[in-house]
Amino acid sequence: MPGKKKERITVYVDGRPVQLYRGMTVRHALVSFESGLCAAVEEGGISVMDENGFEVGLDGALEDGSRLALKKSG
Amino acid sequence: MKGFRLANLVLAFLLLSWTAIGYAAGSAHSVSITILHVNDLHGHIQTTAKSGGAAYLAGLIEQHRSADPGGTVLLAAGDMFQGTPVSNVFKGKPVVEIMNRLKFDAVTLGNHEFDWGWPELLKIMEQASSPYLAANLVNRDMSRPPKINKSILLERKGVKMAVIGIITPETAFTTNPRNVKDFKFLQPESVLPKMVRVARAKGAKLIIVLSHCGLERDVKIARRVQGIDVIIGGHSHTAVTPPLVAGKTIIAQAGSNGLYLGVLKLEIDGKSGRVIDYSRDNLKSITASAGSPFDPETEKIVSRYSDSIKNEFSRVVGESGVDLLRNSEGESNLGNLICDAMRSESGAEIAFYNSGGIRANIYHGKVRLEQAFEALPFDNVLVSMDLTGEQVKSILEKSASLEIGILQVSGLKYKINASKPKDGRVEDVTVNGIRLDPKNIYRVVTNDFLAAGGDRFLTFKEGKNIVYGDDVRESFIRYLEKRSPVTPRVEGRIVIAR
Repeated sequence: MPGKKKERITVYVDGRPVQLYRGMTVRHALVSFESGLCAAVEEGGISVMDENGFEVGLDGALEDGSRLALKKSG
Repeated sequence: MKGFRLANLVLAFLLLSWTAIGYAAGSAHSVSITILHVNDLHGHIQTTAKSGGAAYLAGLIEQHRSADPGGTVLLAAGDMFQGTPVSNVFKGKPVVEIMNRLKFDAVTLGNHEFDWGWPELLKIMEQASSPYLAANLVNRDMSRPPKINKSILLERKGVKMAVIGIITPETAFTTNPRNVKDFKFLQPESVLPKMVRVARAKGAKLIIVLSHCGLERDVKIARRVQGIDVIIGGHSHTAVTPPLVAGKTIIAQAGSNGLYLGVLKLEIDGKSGRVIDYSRDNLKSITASAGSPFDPETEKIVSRYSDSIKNEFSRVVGESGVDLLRNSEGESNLGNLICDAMRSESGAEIAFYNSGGIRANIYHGKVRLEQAFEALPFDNVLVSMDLTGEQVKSILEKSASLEIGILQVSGLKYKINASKPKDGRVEDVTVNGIRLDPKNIYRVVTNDFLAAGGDRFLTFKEGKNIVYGDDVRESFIRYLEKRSPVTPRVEGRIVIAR
């Protein structure tokens, strides 16, 4: 069965490791990191950037080792 | 000395005329090609505060196409349908109609194209006029699935280009297993080298991989597979601007949810097909501002479905003999019904749902689709996992702290002695009538919010044998449709002694 070898990934939000299940998204990383962050992103107060400095959407897929940075918008 | 200076001058000239990615300035035989692309639309066809919607997207596409009708290609990099009520309720039909009108040259499959199961995906592809691609998707016996090509050969201004479709192999893991059980998702690197060779042998000068793998994976693909000129991507919902270059491959992606149209302009050597230059200002926002290009015919399609959805929302999906009431401080019969539906759908022994995710009551009588959406407005999916009895108790203790709304349950009963200190309040836990065994393994189902540790229920992150399931709301609706009329009660699953 696919996926049996690795069920968990570690991503980094503002440099802090966040453990998630494989297949989870940016949204889940924020839910795990801190309450209320998803709402702040949806309202436009905060943007989420990847390690290249590109903005990513809340439902964007993550990989093991993905790095996200939170940026205050405006 | 003279010879040394001359050699230096020649060397300097060569270095100046060749950038790190091998692009050179100008060519007598250069050809301009424009790749227009969207990805991860997720059914966002209506105009909202954030995006102009499909009518403005269509206007923008037409504007760019008409600027270079012979040199433009329109591509979609997957996950176009699932995501909004207007698209979900009609199983993607509005998006298919719009894409047919816009005449996409190729579409790659995304993981969410499998959310509604293979028969629905097949229907979508049968209704679609564009070719659907996924070179690394095969049947279990390695044969090709119907209606899905590996690649397509296009020609613009005398330049032959191959578009090769790739879907993320993670689809096998992140989708309800019953939706993908007949398929294998091969690693892109195992199929692409041969695809590139075959495409070149057929005369393709430009190789475009239309990928639904995510930006990080696209970068790895670019580094591992020789000969790919462009990767048009999706899946990670990344607004890639300017385009990223990995090795000799240009990588682009246009965000998600109808926010952007990707406009990648390439200057190509007409003889060799080598990319000489590319545009850096490659993402155009899709906004409903005055003066923005707009297609009224696409708007008619959007309006037709937006109007129809009002009828759909009135559709009766079940019946309740009692008021279904939410309660964040104790057991609720609506919470019981939702959790029972989750358990029935997943086959788990225990179900948990956060009270905060239940946002409206449903009063007795006919239950309409709209009410199901109001009660469960969030797009959560089922997540099943193995947890030990000790972990289950830990979750119950967190619930019993009453700091955040209590967890609704199915399959177990327990008492909360609220007079005791936190982490010691839970008593008499039984699972299907049998005392909870801390060492036993239980199959638990919850939603992805809790599975990610939402509301600080961190123990859910310790699960094993994770399986993703269907949308919670759709599971609830199916349960109602099958079991109505329902009369759930507050029946003592959670007893709180204060």
